[in-house]
Amino acid sequence: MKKTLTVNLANTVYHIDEDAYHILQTYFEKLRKHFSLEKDADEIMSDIEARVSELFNERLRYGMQVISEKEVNEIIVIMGNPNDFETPSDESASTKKTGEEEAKQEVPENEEPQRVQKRIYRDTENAYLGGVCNGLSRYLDIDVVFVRLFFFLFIFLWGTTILIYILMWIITPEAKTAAQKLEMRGQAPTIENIKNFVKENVERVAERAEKELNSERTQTFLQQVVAGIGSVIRILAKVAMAVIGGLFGCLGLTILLAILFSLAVSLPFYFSDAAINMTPLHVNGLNVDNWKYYPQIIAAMLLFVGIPVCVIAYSVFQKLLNWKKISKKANWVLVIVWLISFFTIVYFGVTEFLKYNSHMTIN
Amino acid sequence: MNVENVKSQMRKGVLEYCILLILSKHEAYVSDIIQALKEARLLVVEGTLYPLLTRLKNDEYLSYSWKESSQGPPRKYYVLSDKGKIFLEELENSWNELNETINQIKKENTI
Repeated sequence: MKKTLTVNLANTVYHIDEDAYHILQTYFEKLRKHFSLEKDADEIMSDIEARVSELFNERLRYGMQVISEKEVNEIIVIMGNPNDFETPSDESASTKKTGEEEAKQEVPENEEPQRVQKRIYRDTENAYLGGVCNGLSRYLDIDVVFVRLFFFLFIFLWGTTILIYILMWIITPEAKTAAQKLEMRGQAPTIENIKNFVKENVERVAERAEKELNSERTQTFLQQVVAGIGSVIRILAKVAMAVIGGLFGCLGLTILLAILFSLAVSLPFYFSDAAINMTPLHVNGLNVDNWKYYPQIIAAMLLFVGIPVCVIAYSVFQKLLNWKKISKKANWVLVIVWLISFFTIVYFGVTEFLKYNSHMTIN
Repeated sequence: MNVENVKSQMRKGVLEYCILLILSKHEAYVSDIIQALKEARLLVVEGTLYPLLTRLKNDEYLSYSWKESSQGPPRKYYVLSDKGKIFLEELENSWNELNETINQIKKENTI
C-alpha cells in the first residue's frame, strides 16, 4: 500500500505514488538546473513536462490508474539525464558550468543526514548471493571484503558460517524501499533523507535500467545458480512436507479408527456382567461396580482421545487437499467439549479413587 | 577516443539539420519529430531535443502554433520559417559537400 499524490503535468491530472513523485521531482529539478542557463528554460521545461504527460498517458491506457516508480524510471530512461543530452558543442562550456554548480549545491544537502538506530537488512545491490554479507557490512560499518572473508574462512570450521548465512538469508528482510535502505545505513527515513538518497540514486537507477535494456543478464551466474537451487529445495521441502503430513494424517486416522474399533468391540462386554472380570481396573483391585452404569465415562474417554486426533487428522488433510478450514466457532465448541470430557474423566477418576480408598480403610 | 563518443559527436552535428529536414516536408509536433528521429536512430534520449527546438525557435528558424488535439491537451506544432528554409538550404549544401568528400576518400582508399 502506498500513498498517492495528485500532480498537474501540462494541464492533465495524474495520480502518482509518493516514491515515484519524489523521483520525478528530483529529475525535474535536475533538468531545471541543467537548463537554467538557456534562454527559455521555462519553455523547455514546459515542453518536457508536456511530453512526460504524454508518455504517462500512453502508459495509463492499459487500465492502470496510478503512476508508479516503474513508469517514472522508464520515462527517465526515455527522456535521459542531462549528461546524456547530446547538445551541440558550442554550448558544452555552459553545460559544464551548470554541472559544477549542481555538484556544489548538492554537497551541503548531504552533509548531515539524521541518524537513527540501524537495522539489519540484506543489501542485494552488488550482492554475490543473497546480500547477507553486504547487509552485515553496512550494519557493522566494515568493508564487505572482510565480512565475506570471515564467512569464507569459517566455512572450514565445521561449516558454521554456511548455516549462519542460510539462516540469515531466511530471517533478515531484503532492503527494498528507499526507507529500508536508509534504515540499513542508519539514517532516519525522513522525506528529506529519502529525497537525498533518491537524488543519489536516480542516475544509478537510470544507468541500470539502460543496462538492463541492453543486456537482460543483470544477475550474476552464481545468483542464477543459487536461485535455481533455491527453487529446487523449496519444491523438495514441499514434497517432504506433503509426505510427512500424509503419514501423520494416516497415523491419526488409524489411531482414531483403532479406538473406535476397539470400543465397538469391547462395549458389549462392558455392558454385560462379564465385564466385571475383564476390566483391568477390576484386576487391579479397583472395584468399579459395573461399567454399564458409566456410559458418561466411556463417552468422555472417547471424546478426550478422539477430538485431538480428529482435529490433527483434519488439519493435515485440510492443508493437503485444500479442505475448508475448521471455523472458529467449531473450534471453540471442540475445545469446550474436550475440556468437559477431560474434567468428567478426572471427576470419575477421583470419585472412584475415593471409593476405593474408603473400601480399603473399611477392610 | 572511443567509438560511442565519436558516434555521439556525429549525431550531434546532424541533429539540427535533421529536425529542419523533417519540418521542411510538413508541420509536426514533438512526438512526430521524436518518432522520425528515433526511427532513424538519431536520438538516444528525448531530452536532447527540447533545448534544440527552443534554440531553433529563438533564432527564428522555426515557429510554432498551438493546435487542439483529439486526445489530451493542445499540442505545439512546429513549422519551418522562411529564415529556416534558407538556413536549411545552407546546411544541405554543406552536407552534400561533406558527403561527396567522404565518398571520394572511400573510393581512393579502396583503389
